[in-house]
Amino acid sequence: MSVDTKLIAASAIRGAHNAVAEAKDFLARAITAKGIDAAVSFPDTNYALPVIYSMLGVKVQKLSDMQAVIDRCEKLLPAGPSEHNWLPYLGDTLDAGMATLFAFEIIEGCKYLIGPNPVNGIWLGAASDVILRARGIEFVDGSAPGFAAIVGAAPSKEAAVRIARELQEKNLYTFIAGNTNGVSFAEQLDEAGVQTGWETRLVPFGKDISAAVYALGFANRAALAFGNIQPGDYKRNLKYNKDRVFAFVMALGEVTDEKYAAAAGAISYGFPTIADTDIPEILPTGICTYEHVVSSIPIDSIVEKCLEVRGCKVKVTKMPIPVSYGAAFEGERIRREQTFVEFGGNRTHAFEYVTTRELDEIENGKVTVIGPDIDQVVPGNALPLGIWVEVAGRKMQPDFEAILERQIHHIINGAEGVWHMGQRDQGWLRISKSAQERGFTFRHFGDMVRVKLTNDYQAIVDKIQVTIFTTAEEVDRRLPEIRQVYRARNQRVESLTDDSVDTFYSCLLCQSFAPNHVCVITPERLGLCGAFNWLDGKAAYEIDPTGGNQPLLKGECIDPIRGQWKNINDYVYTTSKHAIDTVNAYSMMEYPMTSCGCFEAIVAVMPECNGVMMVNREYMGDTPSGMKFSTMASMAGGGQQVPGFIGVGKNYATSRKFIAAEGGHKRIVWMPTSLKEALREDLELIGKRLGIDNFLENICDETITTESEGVMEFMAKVNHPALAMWDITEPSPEAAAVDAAREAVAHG
Amino acid sequence: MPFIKKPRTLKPLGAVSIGTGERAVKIGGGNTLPLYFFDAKLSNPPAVGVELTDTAWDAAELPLLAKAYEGAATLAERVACAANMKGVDFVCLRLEGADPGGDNLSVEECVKLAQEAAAACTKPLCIAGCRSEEKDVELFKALAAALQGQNVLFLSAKEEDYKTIGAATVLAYGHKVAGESSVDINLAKQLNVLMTQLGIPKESIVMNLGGAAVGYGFEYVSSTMDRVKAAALEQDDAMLQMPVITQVATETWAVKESMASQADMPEWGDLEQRGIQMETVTAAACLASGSDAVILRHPVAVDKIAALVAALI
Amino acid sequence: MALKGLDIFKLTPKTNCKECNQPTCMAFAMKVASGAIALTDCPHMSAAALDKFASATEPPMKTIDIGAGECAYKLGGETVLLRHDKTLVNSNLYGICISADMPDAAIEAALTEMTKIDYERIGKRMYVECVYVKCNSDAVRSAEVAVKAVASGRVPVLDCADPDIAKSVLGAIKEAKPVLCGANAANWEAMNAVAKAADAVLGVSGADLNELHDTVEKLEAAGNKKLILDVGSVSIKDAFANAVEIRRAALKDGDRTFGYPSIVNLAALAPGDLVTQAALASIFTLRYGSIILMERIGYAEALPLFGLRQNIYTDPQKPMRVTPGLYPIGGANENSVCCLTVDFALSYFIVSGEIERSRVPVNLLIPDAGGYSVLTAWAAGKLSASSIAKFIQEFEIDTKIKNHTLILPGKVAVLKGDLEAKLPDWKIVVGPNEAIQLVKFLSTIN
Repeated sequence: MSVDTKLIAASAIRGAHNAVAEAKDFLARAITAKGIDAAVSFPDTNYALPVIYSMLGVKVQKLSDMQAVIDRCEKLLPAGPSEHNWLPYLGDTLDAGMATLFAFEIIEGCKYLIGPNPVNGIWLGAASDVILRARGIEFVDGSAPGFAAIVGAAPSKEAAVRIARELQEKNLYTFIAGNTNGVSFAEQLDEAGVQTGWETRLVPFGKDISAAVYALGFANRAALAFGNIQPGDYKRNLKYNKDRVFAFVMALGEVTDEKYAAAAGAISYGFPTIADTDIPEILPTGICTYEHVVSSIPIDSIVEKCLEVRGCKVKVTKMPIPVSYGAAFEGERIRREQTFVEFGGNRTHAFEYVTTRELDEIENGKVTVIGPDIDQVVPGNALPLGIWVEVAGRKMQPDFEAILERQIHHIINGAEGVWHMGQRDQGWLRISKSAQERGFTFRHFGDMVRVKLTNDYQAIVDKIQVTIFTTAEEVDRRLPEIRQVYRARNQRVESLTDDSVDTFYSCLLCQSFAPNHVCVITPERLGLCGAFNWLDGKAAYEIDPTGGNQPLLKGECIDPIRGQWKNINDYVYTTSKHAIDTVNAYSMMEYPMTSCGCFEAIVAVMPECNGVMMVNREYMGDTPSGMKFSTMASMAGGGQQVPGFIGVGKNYATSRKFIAAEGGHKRIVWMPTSLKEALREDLELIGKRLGIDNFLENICDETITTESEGVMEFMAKVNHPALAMWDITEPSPEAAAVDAAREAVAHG
Repeated sequence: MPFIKKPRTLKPLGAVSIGTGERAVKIGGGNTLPLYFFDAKLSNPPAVGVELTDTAWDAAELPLLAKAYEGAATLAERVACAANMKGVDFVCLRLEGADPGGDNLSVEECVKLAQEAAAACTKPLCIAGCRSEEKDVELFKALAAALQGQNVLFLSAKEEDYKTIGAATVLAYGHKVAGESSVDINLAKQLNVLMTQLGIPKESIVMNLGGAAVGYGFEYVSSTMDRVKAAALEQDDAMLQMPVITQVATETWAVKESMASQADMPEWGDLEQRGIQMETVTAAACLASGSDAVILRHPVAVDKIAALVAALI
Repeated sequence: MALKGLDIFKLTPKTNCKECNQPTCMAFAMKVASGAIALTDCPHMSAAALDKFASATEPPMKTIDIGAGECAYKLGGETVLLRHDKTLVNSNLYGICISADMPDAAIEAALTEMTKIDYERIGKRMYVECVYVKCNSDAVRSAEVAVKAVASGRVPVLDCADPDIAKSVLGAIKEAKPVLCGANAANWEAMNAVAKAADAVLGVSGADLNELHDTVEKLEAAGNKKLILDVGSVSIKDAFANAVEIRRAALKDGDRTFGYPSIVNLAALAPGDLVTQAALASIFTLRYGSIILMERIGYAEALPLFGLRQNIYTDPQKPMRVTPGLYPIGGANENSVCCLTVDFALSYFIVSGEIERSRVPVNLLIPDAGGYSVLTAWAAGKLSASSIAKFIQEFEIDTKIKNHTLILPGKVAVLKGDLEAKLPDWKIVVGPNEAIQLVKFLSTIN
């Protein structure tokens, strides 16, 4: 707890006392005027005074009911923090905040009875249930990402308009209450000729700070109506608001004790307060997702800061480029004679690069072009290009950089008249003459990347800033640095081992045609379709937590040799609908992982050779097993466990865990030349590691024989390492030792 | 040696109730594998719905269908006919006229039509859109408000629009909603997870797993339902225990067998008979695979399927 | 628990002698494990191995052969209750009913209506396989009607509980390898003798499942394992319950006594009501009817039922395929646009259905795409710009169709550029992602 927190606590508690006193005064006057049994309500609602109703379960219908609530307020009101005691005040502050909201609601309720009428001129007062339902849907389905409760007034009319416009552009609702020294944000808008009202999403509730309670009442009613939460269940109501209603308080101008008290009330909902003035802050997180009170934010960037602190994401609906955009243009080619300008290829250097930044290091949505833009280009020329993308996000991880970067190819290709090939520093791009004529400029590269990554990767991208470099100097200056990062990424992928992580990822996408198939993706065994590795699984889960890729905590290891874990078995048992109960990640002979149908290659046992052959899908010819790829595929596929046959991604052959339980790479006796070529570099390295010279030359292929007998002859000739290994149809000595140990434990 | 019958007791699944008061109908809530009513005392039988659209059927070659709606001039009158049809448990109104590619009726016009229909309907009501995603969302938002309190089932919310439709129909106005997925058990489950995460109670969700006419990839429908029911009943998978509703008519009346006129296909014989059998055979296959409610169009199919369900109880 | 390929491999001599007509012992073992061939096909299998194997893999449900020549069929042999568990092996048969009591004209009419149904659907001939003949007390007349059934070219299924009449009727038609229904608790011994003598499959019925179970046990004890079980005609509910109980007992609970195919007579369950019979036929196609009999089968019944059966009896791993080629739809001619999809039957049906609904004449092009769906075919390299260009060339689409507009599935929009390069005189248009959007799309393209 800091001095700041204490100052806020003191101020909020003072404000709460003031608010309750004012409410008592209002109530006394109302009783005098109308009698204690006078009916009191907000118009056209079944939720009475909604904050009181949803928090306390009390349906205020008469002034006498208000009296009872005042009594509750007084119990809630804490004494101010003592001068010497620095113990936690947050609990007290929150109580004070809640008492303030009850008091405000009583004040507003009384106004409906004895005036001044809350509905007056631009001021709208409480929202009816009809409005609540119609507008509430937008909060649930995300078409309104949240609301801003603005209290006070902007430094100027112009600033007010700018803030309002920015909130409107982002589809947020703006709920306006209170004033700063007699000037209100709503009045500033009105004077500037901006139309307010529910239709424009700029909603002036009332000029007094007590009208701020309408915003919170709206939030409470949303929880009652849309969250199926019972009145009086304040815990669930507040949690609903924290989790689902992305609201925040924007405090403009001086923050009085009453405003503090109201802000304290909002904190209970998980709604933080962001102020443009220098007020004390509560930074540590606790109730709110991130900070509670943040101050001294420049008026120009306050909206962005509000969204960031509340964790509120806004989608851009229209791609801001002058040409058509969509997947239909991905396959479009631009021939040389159609090209206005190109980048990369072999003519210039072109790179694209995504890197992670801290949230306060970049400006969201900013796109800068450094170097000549399209209007300075001689048609037909080639320019250097650097697409430099800086991403910040509270859930962003450097591991996701490569995944985001890979999207750039698709993102840019989506534009009509723009063509992209390659990745990293191997890019080649063309802009067509027609796209240029329609106004396509280099900054639009940045706009496309910014919009698509923000929309499609909301879960991990909070902020994004793109810089486009088009001079050789700027591009070349950065190349050494980013090439180092590319290398580091490669090393990261290589250094990721199954033992170094505690979580694998599942993939159930193929269950539509292989109902019992469950892919378990580990760092050292990529998905058998070859398209999906462990990092992809991790990112996919962050992006879509209910999707087909779920994290699997390995848990207790049952068999380190064959690669078997208790939790993985349990998960496979459940998701295979009880068809498979045991899976070994590193064995093809005992309880192998099932195969769907989309595997890139098959590894099949050749028991007579004491080894295995590996055949890729493209290879259509005969194999020494006597079966072609298609025959083996129909046996191994469909989500069944077929010992001796596994479908794999090609790159699994480069993994240290490649059929480790059977002895690994030394078992490979045959593979088609096309597969040998595709994997040559990696396999030669592996051969070296294993101390085998001519590793690839020891592996038979279709140019030598497609007969089992031929393979055996060949093996004898080259003295193939598999000949010296244990019988492949039996467990390895190591695995047998594991079995024996387990047996011993089982029998005491 | 006599045959030894094994006891097969399964926990009844949750049911979804549509309509109000005495006219309410429960969908789902079964406690046996589909149609295995001999395994246990039945908790709730499958329901049969009849569909009609705001635009009248083209019944040129369908005299029996035309007869069922004889004398009904307005939508309200046709709805009344449908509700009184023999064997009908609920009525499904499809607002085809809203289709922007067709009549493109405004949301207000559709609301008016639906209100008239609801007033004339003596059975629980189910409302389907015009298969234009944007229009259906707008339509359902307005209809949910206009039909507040009538406990209508809306067909259907998809992964793309479940938030808006779910919020508008169930959360805001307490109706029921069907989640539509395309013949895939995991997609169905994911949608159920998403909808419950949105706050829609399990008891308000029906699954529309997608459909097909027999002969047109029906094996996917059948196997998906087989698996959904096995997961729900035998593996206690809570996110697949919602009842299954299948729009049979929209599938079967769109295939050649039910559309080609006798003039075009003389050897095939009477068009109406073909349509009835296509619909009946598909409906029966859906019920055997796991549909808890089927939506049909032809009065003969409705009658025969309802009678068959009764005969199996 | 069935043996896995490797277990079976260990039983082989491991010599790759090829005497079993398989290239390797491993290939042989894998085929045995999948149920495609028998262990006995290996001449070097030891007696001990055969013993061990037989006990481990005796099928839970017997495969019964009926009919002869071109109308020979296999029934039963299923190993799973639901197709997604593995696959269903032998599809059910449909039949119509005639009786010795019917006048000749009515019999002729029924048979003529039946034989009219003969068409091709996704590469398979569709027709009614069986004719059920209900005999009466007149053996001569019964035989005469049975001969008519045989003459129609279908498998006769006799219903006759009188062993003497059965014997005499069978004498006239036994070359057709008919099914003889009518054995029950009272007459099983005599009926067994008649069936065995004629080498006919024997249909067994019982007052209830207990009696049926008893009778089957007795017949098996008497050495007859060529049986078909009648699910009865007490009521719809009872018949359906029996069909399920019998199959479930055999496949789930290992009751081999009930491991036989079934016969269902819908004409007896819903007489005179062809719609209810069709609905029941649908249910029994999914749930365990092996021979399904209806009063009559016209096109109205055949079209849906044969379609259903063709769907259900497909291997979930092997999608149904349509023949590659040019399919004009909606009266398309050489001036109509071309749409392209894949040879996966489901894709073809959905796309062609939507084109029909659009009422726009379209030439649907189906290249060989390995029987996969659009995206899968593309990912597997079976649908590429070169495969499409090759198809256009091989099927001479260039010359057959003058309108060189080719609509590509939206999901493979990425092929557009390559295709434009390979087919320079074609206009390549990217169509919608989903077939359901085709109607709207086609309405705008013209």
